[in-house]
Amino acid sequence: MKDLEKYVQDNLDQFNDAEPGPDHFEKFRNKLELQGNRDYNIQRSGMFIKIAAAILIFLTVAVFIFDHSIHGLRNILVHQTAAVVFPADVSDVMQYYSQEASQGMNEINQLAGSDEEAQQLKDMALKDLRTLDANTSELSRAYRENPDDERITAAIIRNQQMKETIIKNIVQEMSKKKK
Amino acid sequence: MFNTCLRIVNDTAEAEDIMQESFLDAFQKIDTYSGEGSFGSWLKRIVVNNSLDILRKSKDIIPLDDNEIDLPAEEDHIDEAEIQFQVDEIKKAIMQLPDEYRVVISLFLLEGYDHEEISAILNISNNLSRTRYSRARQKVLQILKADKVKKSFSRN
Repeated sequence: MKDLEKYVQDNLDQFNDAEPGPDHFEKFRNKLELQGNRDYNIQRSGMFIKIAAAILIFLTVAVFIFDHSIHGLRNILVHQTAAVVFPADVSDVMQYYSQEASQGMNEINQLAGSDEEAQQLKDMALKDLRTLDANTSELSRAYRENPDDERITAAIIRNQQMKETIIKNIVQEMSKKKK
Repeated sequence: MFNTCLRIVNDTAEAEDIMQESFLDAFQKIDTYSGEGSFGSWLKRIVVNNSLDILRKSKDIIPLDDNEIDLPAEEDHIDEAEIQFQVDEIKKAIMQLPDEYRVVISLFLLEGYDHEEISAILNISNNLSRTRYSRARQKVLQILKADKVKKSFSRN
């Protein structure tokens, strides 16, 4: 390998360090919501792999948003396990999304029934949703240390919104499969 | 993915839009994903194609004559060992290249596509992909060398 190619390969991470602007998430979320209202033309053949891929796209977005949200906050993320007390308004929002998630999970369980593919999909979704829960836990710990930092509160809520979006999407796709 | 867009279109706002649209596109085109090959590669290909579409539309590209790029003469061979590579300098040098060259060098050097894949993505011949890469690479070295000379002058 020539010098230039070798140098680039050895330092590839540094060539990929550009970050999108601060309003990137809001634009993204707006487009995502608009898209969420459309009907998707997913064919029945290879349904499992396609739904799995759809979940993966949402998760890629979620991880991207999470990373973007905590960019610059990582140094204040500490590993403590005590419960976090949120102010009333944030707590209400968290409770709302928690209820929505719980209701969505019930629907997923019902839709999965005894169908093997649906069960696999459900297991995959549960595993991935735990990633989002881990994000929320990590952000909650950051919040405990910095309760006045609105970026953290916003990131927690976004994470919950993303979880709800994913659950809704899974329910929607599983319902289509059932029809 | 954002960096991939940015390197192709060379515009931050445009790259943000393309990335957002590409994720949404991927969702709409999900029924075309066969499960063969990695999901990441499939998604990246959508990002690359969308970036190229925007580049073509926004810049109204006139196909470049591949002899147009101003390269050092044969006798003025650049010894890579003389150049102290630095990430920022290389990034800047790549961004100074004409679109056709920047795209090929980015796809090959930074995105890891081979010339076969690049020729399919850009709809050019394998040979042209190789030629453009070689010329782009040479031009980057030329810029890096010129910067080095400039810096040494300003130090003295």
